Amino acid sequence: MLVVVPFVIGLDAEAHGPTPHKIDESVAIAAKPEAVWVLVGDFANMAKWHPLVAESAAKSDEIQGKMRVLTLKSGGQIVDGLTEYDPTKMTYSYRRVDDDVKALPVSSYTATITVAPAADGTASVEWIGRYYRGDTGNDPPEELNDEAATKAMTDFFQSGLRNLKTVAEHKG
Amino acid sequence: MKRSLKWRLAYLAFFSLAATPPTCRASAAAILYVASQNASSISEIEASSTGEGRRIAIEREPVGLALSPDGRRLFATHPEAGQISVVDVAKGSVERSISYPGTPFGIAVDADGGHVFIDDWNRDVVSKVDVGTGAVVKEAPVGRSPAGLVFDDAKRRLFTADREADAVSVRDADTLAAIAAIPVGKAPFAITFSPALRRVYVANVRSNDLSIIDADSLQVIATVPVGNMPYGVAASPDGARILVSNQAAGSVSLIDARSLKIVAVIKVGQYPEGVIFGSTADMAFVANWFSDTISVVDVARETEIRQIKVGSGPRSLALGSANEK
Repeated sequence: MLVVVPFVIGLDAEAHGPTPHKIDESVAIAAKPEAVWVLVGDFANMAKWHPLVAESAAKSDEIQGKMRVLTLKSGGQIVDGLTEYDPTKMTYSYRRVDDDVKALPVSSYTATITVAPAADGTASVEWIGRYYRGDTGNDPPEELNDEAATKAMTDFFQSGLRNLKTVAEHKG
Repeated sequence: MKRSLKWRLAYLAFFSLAATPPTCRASAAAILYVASQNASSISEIEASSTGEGRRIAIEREPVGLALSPDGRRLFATHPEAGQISVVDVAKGSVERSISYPGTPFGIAVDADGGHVFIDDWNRDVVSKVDVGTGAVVKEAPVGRSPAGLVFDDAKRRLFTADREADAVSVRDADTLAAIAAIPVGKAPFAITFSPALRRVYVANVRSNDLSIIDADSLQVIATVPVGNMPYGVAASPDGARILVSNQAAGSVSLIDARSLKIVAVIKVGQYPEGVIFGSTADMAFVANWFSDTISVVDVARETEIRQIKVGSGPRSLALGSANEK
């Protein structure tokens, strides 16, 4: 019997390689946590504070629930689906639901962003996540390997938190 | 007899997820084995202790973990390296490394310990590997991206959770002939077998539910909604309880296996994945992938009692016994 087996799995939204990676970034912000949460907690409006996001829009459907479509300044689009939302703890979690590794060379990321009160009444924002490289096969090209994914995620988180601090402190 | 039953139960340890542990002697000190993917290590934790015991360095990035029926060998899959490690449990060191021509992911050990069953995340096959020679002796296609794999010794059947096929493949463990493909929820990943109730449990990452399969009729008899992104599942040795880890929620759902009602949702660490019961239904362990800890859960009191630090990126768990060393 001849069995045709796909050699490389497709880069669809559910595909991911075998090794997930961690990201853990945080920033201290000299503003009230509640004020920072007004910005961060507005899930669909990330463009208000993220410098790499040109536009953000809400979307929803029965399977994914609440989503946001982020149009990046670099041109591509990514779509995140909300998985957890707890305003009393000022935290939410989401996962990537699209599959465009050209927009961002990362697959199947999930992340949680949390605004925590610091001792002096200011805020600390922690943004953590789990992600896989863009090409999930065992021999990825350079632009879709682990290093490319880590660079893309780190740039996205760090520049986001830096600008969140700027925006929140100016408003405060 | 006791020993053989015990190990019949004990070797059902597999990828991410859950084994049905020894039940016979209350005096047998259970030992938890933890595969940490990022640290490339296996940690040992005595079930009653408050800290990590021995840490065994192995080939890079282990994912699947299974214990041999006699408790003397641990097998770990290394998807990125295309290797299977064979660990001598008594010595605490790697005995040998088997090359595998693909991306080995889920693993289970045959009843005699002479073969392991492996599924291949990228090639979409299940393989039977001779432990002595390291050769792939049989191979057969399954659905796309098989992840967790379990072995029903009584009927000599293999079940794989085919993540991107939204199905569970059932194959004969001797011939690897196809027996069934059972449609389940979206993105099935973790899978466990409950010998006590003769059921297979499959956690569906993207439909956030648990499919309950009758291991004899091979029908889905119920689907139970759980938390977001369930990535691990375990059944208690007596069959009465089921635990599912909810990765997005940082919690585990405790389910009554008879009523299929959620009894409790217990907070654990960040990004929980593999989950396993101790030697009784009163205790369980959860691998917190992000926190780099193992949660020790008092199941009777429905609460986490401590977290134990392990190597970075713990995903899979297996349970053995100190008496077998």
